[in-house]
Amino acid sequence: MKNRSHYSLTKTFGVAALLVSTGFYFSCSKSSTSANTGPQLPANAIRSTTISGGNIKGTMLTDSTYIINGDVTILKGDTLTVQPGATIKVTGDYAFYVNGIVQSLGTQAKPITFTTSKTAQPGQWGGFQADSCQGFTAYWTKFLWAGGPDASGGTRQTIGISVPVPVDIEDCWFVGGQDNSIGIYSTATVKILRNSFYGNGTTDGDCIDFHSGVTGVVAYNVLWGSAGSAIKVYTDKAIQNPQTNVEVYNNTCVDNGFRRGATEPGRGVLVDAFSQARVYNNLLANNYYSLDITTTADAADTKYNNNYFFVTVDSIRQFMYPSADVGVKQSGDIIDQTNTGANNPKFVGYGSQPDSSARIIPANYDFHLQSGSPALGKGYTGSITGLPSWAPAPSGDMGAYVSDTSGGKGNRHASGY
Amino acid sequence: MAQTGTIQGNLSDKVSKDPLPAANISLEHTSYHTRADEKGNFTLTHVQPGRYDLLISNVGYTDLRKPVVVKAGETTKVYLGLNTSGQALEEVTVFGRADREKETGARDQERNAANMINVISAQAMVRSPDINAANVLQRMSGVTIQRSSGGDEAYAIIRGMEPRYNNTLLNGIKIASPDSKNRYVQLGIIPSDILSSIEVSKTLTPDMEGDATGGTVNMVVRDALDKTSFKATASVGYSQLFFDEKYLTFYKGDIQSRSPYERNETGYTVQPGDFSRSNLDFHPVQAPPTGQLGFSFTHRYLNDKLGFVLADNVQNQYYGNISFQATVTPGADTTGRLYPSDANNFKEYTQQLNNGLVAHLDYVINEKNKINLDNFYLYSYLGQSRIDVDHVLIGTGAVSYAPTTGQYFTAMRSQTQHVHVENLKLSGQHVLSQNFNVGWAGVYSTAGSRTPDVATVNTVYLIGLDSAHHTYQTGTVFDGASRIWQNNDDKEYSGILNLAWHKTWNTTNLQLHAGGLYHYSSRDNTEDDYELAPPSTNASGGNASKPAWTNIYQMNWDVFHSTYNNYNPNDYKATETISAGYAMFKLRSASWEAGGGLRAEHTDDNWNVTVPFQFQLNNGSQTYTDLLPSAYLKYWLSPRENLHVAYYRSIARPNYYELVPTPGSLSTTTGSRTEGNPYVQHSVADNFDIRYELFPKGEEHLFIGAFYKHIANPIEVRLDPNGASSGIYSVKPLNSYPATNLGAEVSFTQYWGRFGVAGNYTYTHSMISSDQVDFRGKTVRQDRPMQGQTEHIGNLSLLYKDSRHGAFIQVSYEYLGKTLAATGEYAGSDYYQRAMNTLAVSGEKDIHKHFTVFAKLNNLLNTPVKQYVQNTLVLENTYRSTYLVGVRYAY
Repeated sequence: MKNRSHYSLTKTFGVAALLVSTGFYFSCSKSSTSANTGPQLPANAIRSTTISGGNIKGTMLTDSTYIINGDVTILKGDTLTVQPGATIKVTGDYAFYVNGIVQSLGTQAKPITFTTSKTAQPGQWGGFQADSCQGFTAYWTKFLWAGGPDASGGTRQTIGISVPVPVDIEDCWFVGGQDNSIGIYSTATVKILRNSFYGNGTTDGDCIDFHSGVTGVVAYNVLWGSAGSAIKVYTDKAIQNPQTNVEVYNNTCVDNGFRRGATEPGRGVLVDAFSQARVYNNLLANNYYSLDITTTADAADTKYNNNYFFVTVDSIRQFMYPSADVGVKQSGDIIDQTNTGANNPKFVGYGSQPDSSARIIPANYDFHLQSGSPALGKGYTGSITGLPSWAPAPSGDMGAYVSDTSGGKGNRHASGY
Repeated sequence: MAQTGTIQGNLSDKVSKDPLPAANISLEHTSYHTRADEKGNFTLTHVQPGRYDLLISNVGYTDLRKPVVVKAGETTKVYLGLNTSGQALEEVTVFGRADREKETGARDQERNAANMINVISAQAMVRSPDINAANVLQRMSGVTIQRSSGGDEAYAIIRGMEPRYNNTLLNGIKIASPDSKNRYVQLGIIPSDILSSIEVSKTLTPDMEGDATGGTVNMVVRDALDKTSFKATASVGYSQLFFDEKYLTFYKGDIQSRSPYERNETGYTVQPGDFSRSNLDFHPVQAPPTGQLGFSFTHRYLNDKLGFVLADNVQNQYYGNISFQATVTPGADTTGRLYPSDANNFKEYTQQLNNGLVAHLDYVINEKNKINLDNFYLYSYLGQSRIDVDHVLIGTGAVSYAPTTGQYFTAMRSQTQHVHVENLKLSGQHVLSQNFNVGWAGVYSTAGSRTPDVATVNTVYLIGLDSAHHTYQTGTVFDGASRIWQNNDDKEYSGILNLAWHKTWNTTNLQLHAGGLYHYSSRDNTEDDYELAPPSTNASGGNASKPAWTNIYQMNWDVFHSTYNNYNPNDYKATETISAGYAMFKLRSASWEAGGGLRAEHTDDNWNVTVPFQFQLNNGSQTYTDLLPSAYLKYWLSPRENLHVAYYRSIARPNYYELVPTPGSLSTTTGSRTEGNPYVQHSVADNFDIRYELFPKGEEHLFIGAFYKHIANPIEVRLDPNGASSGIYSVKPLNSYPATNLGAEVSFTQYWGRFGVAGNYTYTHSMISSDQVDFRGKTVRQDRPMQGQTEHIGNLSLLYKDSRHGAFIQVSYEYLGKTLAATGEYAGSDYYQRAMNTLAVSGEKDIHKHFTVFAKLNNLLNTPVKQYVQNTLVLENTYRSTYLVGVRYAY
């Protein structure tokens, strides 16, 4: 840059002389604008189990262990396919930047694992930064210990998507993320079915956070111990369209909202900020706030009934339906707003009260229902407005673990991960 | 020595009786000469006895010849009144110049300029209530000042055109900006005492830079007069705010000038202990008084060939504001009515130290060649504490029941900032022949800001509601901290060449001018951010809820900052190269003057983010060439009256950072992203002006004018309606439909004996429209005024001037009508500032031959700034009154 200064005076005289001598040759004006992404390196097909970073595409093979030593990118138009039984270990705070397609295709017999190679603790790697992806599919995949910070110090979501694409996440596990497990900020269509979430968010972060026009289905998920809310349905603080509009049914939400604390309590299910939802058959046990439909929610289009409320602590009993908001007890709800500990759902394994300091789900916790649980047989099986034809039907039982698992109903996971 | 005599005298305006300082006095056919002082007094000593013709000349007045007799050992006294000349001044070929430091000189300049200007002189600035360039400008016709909260960043809005449409010059040349978000220097940091005048040009001629649609603010620093002068000033002051309450300060000794990343090897893992704590330890003290010290010295050496000026002014101010701010959102009622979603009560306490240093050397090689060397150095230090208490009223954190319920987020922020601007200019003027002049200049300018460790600590508590509808309050917990290090460096190189040829036939004078400019500027902006979060837990569990807040020394935190990838989209480099050339003519006859020509400006902007990142836009450019024609006609209705009409075309370039598509994080207030826009187009405006100008005498004037502007591709910062399909809205600079701005201005100064009135009134009416998203996400086309427009602006000053006793009093009133303070991001959410009345008083009195005492009292009505969206109060700032007393010395 320095040498351009020497050139300045010469150029000045040049310009002046040019103008005077040619009598203004500028009879038309030209303009041009450019903005470039810089040179794009070609994507390398995956050929080795050690990946140093860069642009990758292709397939991670079944039952293999891959080591990731740098940020990796899936270019637009490329696909990363992961075969059943693969394990991917990330050695630092590296992320998968997804501009193309991710297909992580585990099976019940051979799940896939994305995890850190270091100590198992939150924030060890950067997760899937898929803001501009073309599609995201994950079946039977474990996402463990993600959420490491970006360059400006912000925590990262385990999976973040801000583009209107199909998002299909079924039968997966999300454990120990630093921030949100799944954050979707766009008019994406979501299928979030039969997943398990354990101990996500350090002092903030939701399991599932929808903004800005998400539509689709959240059903048969088990969500335990998130810092913030288990399921948050939100449009925008000011612009009310496109509207977030989702079906939320048969989820089991336990012990959520305590790490964010009394000052910003998390919810089991939150419907807020000009969004609408149908909320049925959810089993809400010991969440800081259980079911919160706020004053800015689209209450006219939000339907809710047949939800199950259970608290074992006096101080949170009052927040089953927070009194300052618009949600109130419905006819099909199983709820006792005056007696703490009433309506025990009879989990197979559970403690006596939420442990706000626990980040790791205790080994004995199992939210399957014992026979004779009052949640069994109380589910709403009528029609749900807007339920897509591909969606599994709501169950006659409440919660995620149901007796009839036909047609995609019911969480298939054993307890733990 | 008794063989010689002395002539003593005093010169004044024959009508107004104002003293005429700086008038030239000489004895014909001798080498005796002098200049009148501040009060019009002069003395010629050691004059040989005899009869002489005393010749008096002063710019703007008819030359006077007065026979005098000098007797040995005696003093001859002469008291002379001069008539204003009423003649347009000839273009001055050799280097004489009206004295810009005086109001009379300012009037001369206004009368004779080819463009329409308003000028305020040092004399008027010194005796006004104002202490910096921003304060001075807000009293000038058609000018208002846009301030960020806290009042430390101030830029001019001229005729309702926001700062992006105006440029700021120093001695006629652009100076580098220390501000990362603006092209120009903050006017609030320039002490008015180092200036000899401020000129606001409202029309452009081809020899002026074309990026001024509203106008050009030119700050002219002190120049070497022909006469030796030494002036000094000192003052102390206090703000009413600190009579009423304590000043909140913090410890500055531990602030790290470089970020942990910059201090350590690449790959270093930043530790919690790498951050100082004492700069987040706030404590109240009694505010020290505000003080100001300054001097200026001018002298000519080597038989007047070498002129020297040194002037310095340092101001150390303490001020504060008590403020309220709200964010509004539409309700669920779908009416579009807006409700406050949070209410933030905040206070700011600011120490600002400004130092302005002017050094000037000129060397008159001979009467046809002169070389100047000017250096202008500005340093500003800011230390600021800010405490926000933000109460959530609507949304997730709200408990919509009783007025007090909801979350309360407290943010305590401390920051210090060092700003410098330096401008070195070498210029020359050469008379090559009787008809041909050349002027040139080379300028090197640097500016920068260092903002080490903007530290914010957050805490939160909740006032909730239990099922029995009783409120309860939780404890206060630590909610994390953020630390930001920010640097900005601008460098600019300019070269300017102007050629002028002129010839006179009978009463007709023709001037031909041509020239060019080359201007290269570069900006380097870096930012390093850290989040300090309440401690995390590991796989073995442990307590992870937010800890109770006690004080900053007791808190533990985890550092969220990546160790290996320092990509920060706010880091960028930008360069701009402007090459311009022009040609113009001026033709003058006895009763009219016409001029015009063409300017061509070629702009080449380039930007690069510092650490490239795949798929993000990493670099880009804009190049464009504009042809800017202009023309004017001045018709002298009478010797004291001009009619002036003008047309010019102008441009407005986007700010550098506006082209950089920094994918900012989600705004917490609106939930939208703020980004740059590499595709935003520069604005092009056609401007039409007419002005009637009357110069009765002395400082008096009357201007009546009107203007019309048509702006193609105006730029507004708002939500991009293209987000509606994806649900991903971003806020960015966007081109709106063509805008128009029309208005009228009146300004006047009139004296009746010792009493005078000065005032101005400006009406502006602008219209702009764009496709905007409304709260439903629907795109609507909305009409509104342009951002910054104030429909009615009025200034009125009552002046009392007793020249004999050296007394001056000014009572200054300002009316600022309803103003569109900011364009809302979505339709129907524009920020309007309600009308304001402010009052200030200043006065001075000579107490000794060389000493003057003065007082400046500002904001006597304690006028708050209040802004509304629809009918909801969204901003209220109160500053309280300020008082200043001081003494000036002049030799």
